[in-house]
This record gives sequence, C-alpha cells and structure tokens, in this order.
Amino acid sequence: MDIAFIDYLANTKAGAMRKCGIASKLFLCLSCLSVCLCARSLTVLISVPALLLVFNLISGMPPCRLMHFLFYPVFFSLAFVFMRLFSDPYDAAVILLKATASVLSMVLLLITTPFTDLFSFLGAFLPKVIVSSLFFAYRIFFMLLQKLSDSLKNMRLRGKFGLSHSVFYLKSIAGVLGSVFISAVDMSERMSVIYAIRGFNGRIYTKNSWRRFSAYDILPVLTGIAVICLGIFARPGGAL
Amino acid sequence: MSHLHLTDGMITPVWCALGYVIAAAVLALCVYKIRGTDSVKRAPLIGLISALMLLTMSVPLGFLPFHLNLTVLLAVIAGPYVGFIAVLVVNFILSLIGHGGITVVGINSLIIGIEVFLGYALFSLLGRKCNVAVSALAAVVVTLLVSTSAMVGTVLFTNTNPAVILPHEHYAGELHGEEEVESGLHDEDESLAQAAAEVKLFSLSGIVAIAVILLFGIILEAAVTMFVVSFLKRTRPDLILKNAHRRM
Repeated sequence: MDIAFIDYLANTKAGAMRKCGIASKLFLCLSCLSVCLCARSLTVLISVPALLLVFNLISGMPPCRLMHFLFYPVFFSLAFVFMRLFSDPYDAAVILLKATASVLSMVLLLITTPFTDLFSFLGAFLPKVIVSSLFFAYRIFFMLLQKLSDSLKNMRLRGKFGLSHSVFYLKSIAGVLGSVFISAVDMSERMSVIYAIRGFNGRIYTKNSWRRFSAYDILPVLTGIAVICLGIFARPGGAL
Repeated sequence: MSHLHLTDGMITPVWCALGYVIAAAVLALCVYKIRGTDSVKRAPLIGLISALMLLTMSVPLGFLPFHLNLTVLLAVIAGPYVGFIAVLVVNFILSLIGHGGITVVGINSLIIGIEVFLGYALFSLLGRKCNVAVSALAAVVVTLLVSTSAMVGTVLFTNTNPAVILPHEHYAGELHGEEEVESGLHDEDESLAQAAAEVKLFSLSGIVAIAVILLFGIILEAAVTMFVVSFLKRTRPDLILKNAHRRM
C-alpha cells in the first residue's frame, strides 16, 4: 500500500513544494485533475501528466515507487478496456492518460503534505465524524501495521510462509489477521477510555495553518493557472 | 470489497456528482443510525474499522496480484452503518494513492457499500441456520459477485452511447448491409470483417481472463474470511456471534 512510505516522504524530505501552503498545492493538483478529466486533446493529456511527473521526481519520489503507484490505475483501466467497455483505442488511451494524471496529482499532493495537515484542511469542509475517523484511521493504521509486520515475521521464522501448502498458508494468514483484529478491538476500547479522560468529545480540534500564504505558494498557483489556460485553449484531438 | 476500483475519467462528471450526492445521503443515514453510540467511542471505532480495511490490503499473498479487503467480515464485527462510513473513509484514502479515482469516491463507496449491507444481511440470515464459518463463506461469495456485477453494470450504464459500448457489432452490421449494395468492395469488407472477428476474439479472451482473475480473487477472499471467522469463533466468539443472530 505504501502509505508508510508516503508518510515518510511527506514528513522527512525538504523542498520548495513542501514549504508551500496546502491550499496552493491543492489548487495545482485540482487544476491538473480537472483539466485532464475534461480534456479530449492528447496534447493536454500528455503534457499535464509529464509536468506532474517532473514535479513528483523533483519532490523526491523514487521512479520505481512511482511506477508502483501508476500500476494500479493502469491495471484497473486496462481491466475495463479488456472487458470491451472502451474498445476504441483512442478512448482507451484517453482513459489511461486521465487515470495516470489523476494518480500523479494525488501522489504529488501526498508526498509534499503530511496526512495530518491534509485532514486538518478537510476539517473545514467535511463533517466532524469523518474528519475524526480519518485521524483515528491514520493513527491506528500505523500501530497495527507494526503489529502485523511483527506477526508476519514470526510466521516466517516458524516456517509458515511457504506457498507449497496453500490452504495451510491461508489458515496461517487468517490466524494472524484474527489475532490482529482481536488486539485492535481491545486497543480501540482502551483508546476510547484514554481519550475520554483527556477530554475528547467526539471532535479533534486542529490548527488552521493552511490560511497562511508565503512566497513559495507562487510556483504552484502560477503552474495551476498555466495548466488551466492549456486546458481552455487546447483543441480536441490535436495540438494547441 | 470488489477487486475492481473505478478510476478517474471512466465515468462522466454528471454521474460522479450524482454518486457523491447519493453517497452523502447514505452517509447521513448511517450517521443518524449510529447517533445512539457514545460520541467518544464512535470515531475511534470507525477509525479502527477503516484502519483494519487498509491493513488487510497490506497482507502479502506471495506472487498473487491480489489484496484482501474483508469488508464483509468487518461489517459483521462493527455493523453495516459503521461499515459504510469506514468504506467511505477508506475509499477516500485509497483515492489519494491512486487506488480508485478521487472523482468516483462516491460511486466506489456506494458499490462497496453493497458489500457491507448485503454481506451483513446474508451473514445474519444464514448465521441463524448454518455454521458461522459456512455462513461467512456463502455471504462473501454472493456479495462479491453482486458488487463486481454492480461495478461493471455501473460503467455500462453510465456510458449510454452504444457506439462506445459495442462499436464492433454495430460496425459489422453496417458492413453486411453495404456488401449487398456494393459488390466491388467485397474483398475489403471481408478483410474488415476478419479484423473485427479477431478483435472480438481478443476482447472475448480479455473478458475470460478478467473473469478468471476476479473469480480467483473472490474464492481467495471467501476462504480467508471463513478461516478468520473460524479463528474468531474459537478465540473471541462475542465479536461475531453477537451479530450472527441480530437483525439490522
């Protein structure tokens, strides 16, 4: 899933994009996304993902990892193409490029913005139960990931990781998942009590630092405006 | 959870917006239904179920290009309303990393929400009469088949232009009509018809390949769910049995 790797990149690396405010980065990503989703011009559908690719690489995303992220949209788009829902090659290419642009824009946002900042920004628009759940999901995921990783390591050391006996392997995996589920439910109950003692009333209050702007915000804002202009002036199916 | 996630660009913006509106309505219903739960426990529980859904996707299955989801199992543990909210949260996080599009979070959540509600209902129904492990197996198989069909049906239904959905049959039909009128183009038509047949064969093999992969994924998820339910029945039966005999 690579969520841990994205979190690592967002919190440890430096760079101009990480100094930008979340509002300007979101503007850039949503501009790229909306322009690509509305576009029929190959110029737009190739140049915008190429621009996003450059931004991703500059922001420290390793190319191999990026390929891994791109695998999902390409695979799912191809699955639908194979199912003959979009059998025209041009339509298939458009679908693939749109999906690629979408992933590149979202990954750029995530590798330059910590999850907590993003959820804090979303707190201004989404219901409190959803935002609090996002925070808890983020926190619990990393705690359980460590537990799952330890359990799988134990399983491997005890020789239960071979694929030669598939049923045995699945039973072992199910046992690991079952034990993780049990400890997760217990942990959730303990966590509720701890949060209640600390004064949690169902809502996580966050600092709204996204309203501040700096000189670094000029780059994503200008790039976003340029992408929108490209989308407006590009002709369907051809060049500018 | 269905193993096909819709990506951005496959569904027109109008349908995406409609998906968001309906998902918001279902979300409001779910939040209303769980209003009786202590507000301090509500968010940690939804967060926990969301984290478990994300976590099961991280389990390696060797060389197999699959990930588990165990949506039905988690709906059984937490209930369908908490399950749906968790599905929405998970789909949102997944869309940020390219696993399903950000514009189709509403539609993806509604389709996967089918798994939550149907899986829970089937498990509750079958759990009264059969062994819980067998009930879980049957519930997962039926639910995944329904949700996968819903996913494909959604793409077909939202692309209403027949030229986009079935261009080859339509084109082949036109060719036959022209053959009768213009005999001079007979050879060219034959080669075109042959090419269309090749494309049809390729498409058919593609459908079969995808169907086999999906079927294998469904069997795998059903088997793991059954083993986890057996494990929980032995170690913490209260987690699953309290819902096996309860109505929605």
